[in-house]
Amino acid sequence: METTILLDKWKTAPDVDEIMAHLRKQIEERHAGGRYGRDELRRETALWLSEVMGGPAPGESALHHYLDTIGEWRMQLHPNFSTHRGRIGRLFVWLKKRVLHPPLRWIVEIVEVNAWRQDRLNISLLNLLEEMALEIGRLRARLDRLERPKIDGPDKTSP
Amino acid sequence: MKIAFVIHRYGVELVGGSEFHCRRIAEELSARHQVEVLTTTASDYITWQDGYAPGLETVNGVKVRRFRTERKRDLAWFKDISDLCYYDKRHTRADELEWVRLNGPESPELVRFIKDHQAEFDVFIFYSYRYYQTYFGLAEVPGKSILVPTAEEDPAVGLSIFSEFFALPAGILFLTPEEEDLVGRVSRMGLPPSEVIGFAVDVPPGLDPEGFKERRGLADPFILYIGRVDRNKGCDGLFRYFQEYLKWKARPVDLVLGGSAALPIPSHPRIKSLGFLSDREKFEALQACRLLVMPSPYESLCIVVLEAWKSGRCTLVNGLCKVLREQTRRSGGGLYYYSFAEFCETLDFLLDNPEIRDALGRTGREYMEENFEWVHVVGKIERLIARTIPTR
Repeated sequence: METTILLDKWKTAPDVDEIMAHLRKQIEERHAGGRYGRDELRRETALWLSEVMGGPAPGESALHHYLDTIGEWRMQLHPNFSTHRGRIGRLFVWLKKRVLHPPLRWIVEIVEVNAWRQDRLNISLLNLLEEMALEIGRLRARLDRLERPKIDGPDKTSP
Repeated sequence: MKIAFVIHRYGVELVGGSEFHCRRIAEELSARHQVEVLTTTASDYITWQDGYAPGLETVNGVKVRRFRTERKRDLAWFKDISDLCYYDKRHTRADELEWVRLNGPESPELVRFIKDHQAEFDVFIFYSYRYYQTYFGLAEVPGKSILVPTAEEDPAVGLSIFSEFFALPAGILFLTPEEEDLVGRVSRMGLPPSEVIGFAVDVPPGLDPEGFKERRGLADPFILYIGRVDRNKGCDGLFRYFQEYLKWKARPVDLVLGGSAALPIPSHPRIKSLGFLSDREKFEALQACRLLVMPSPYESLCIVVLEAWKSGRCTLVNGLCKVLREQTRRSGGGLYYYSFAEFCETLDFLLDNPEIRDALGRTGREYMEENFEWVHVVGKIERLIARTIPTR
């Protein structure tokens, strides 16, 4: 349907899915038509990077998932207060919590900022790797589609 | 019927989605039932610092009984135990119970009251699954309890103790179908009968949006954000997007913020912060703006979006938040974005097409009137109670 007809229709009966599809098509057309200048591309890339570096929550990404299954990889700063000593162990846990925890906290606070930076860098790099893997996958699929007719198209259909 | 509402904090001056939801529903139900609110003396949602005296008082015609909290929230301890429970697979059930206790507000006196006085009430409505009074209080009276989980897609909902807990109450009141879906996914033992209630909005009469603009020195056109200005609410992303949008489009449009700031607000001539808005000012701002923008990635129900629709204003929301996106699609009251390109395209479209923008706002208002009037909300609560709680 022509844009003007759609715009007229939406003035009385707006349809969210239809409008979103229309706007997404416009964005795609602009990308495909190469109408983004260098500045626009740089801006898009910078924003994309900032989103990826912020990253998904742990567990949402496939790479995080695989790393979780092969072992510990996240920085861990919380003290472990568990015990394997049964009833007597409770006394040890109590001592750890009441006596060891305050100085431990003090040390943790000193290293925490650096550890947090390292943790963030780890997560960001993983997110970037995953996004790049996705992009490569997408481009490879597109390349396959484009190259297929050249490889097996004309021979099979020609008499 | 005698109904007890159990919530972590309660008061007219408190800003918070679940607190406001609870207060308004308690006030509405008090017109037809005997209502009492059981809560703590805490007023600060981060530290549980006391702001109220223990004992009985009346708030907007509703009887409120406050109990002392044992201690303030120890943020360092809570951070440690959260890291342990969220990310370390070796953590135990005892660690998770400790997480609930440290999350607070710890008030054993309130839990004891529920246990000792349960016979005096027909039903207990517990707010927010993650807090001390709900987890331990509901366990004392599961057969006559209704849970309002207010669950969001965050790591806490995945803790194993909650997968059993959600099966415990006699009934559950969800705020949105997406929340129902989320809780259904994490509950290992199925869910009790439930209703999706949403929320009703009352627009104050005699609003003066033009006067509001003049008083606050606002110029047309502006888009509005209302809520806590916080990283958790996606405001840092909104600032980034909006400033880039202005650089790209050079369009004369302001971003106006209504809410207290927990994040530095960029110094930009087109970004204006009004600070906290009273209820009346909030609705005047909604009527004066072009549209409401809501960048939050985590919401179980965004009341200000419902308020915008009830005011006939369209909304532009973060599509990464499933609740906001699906609610927008259901209501037909606005658009959503996933990326910067979509943010620019949707914002341009809404600013350039005032008739479509108004039509979206109208559709949102009709959706609110058809589904979320008080008669619908109260009716659903009473229906669930009748279905699930045995009468005395």
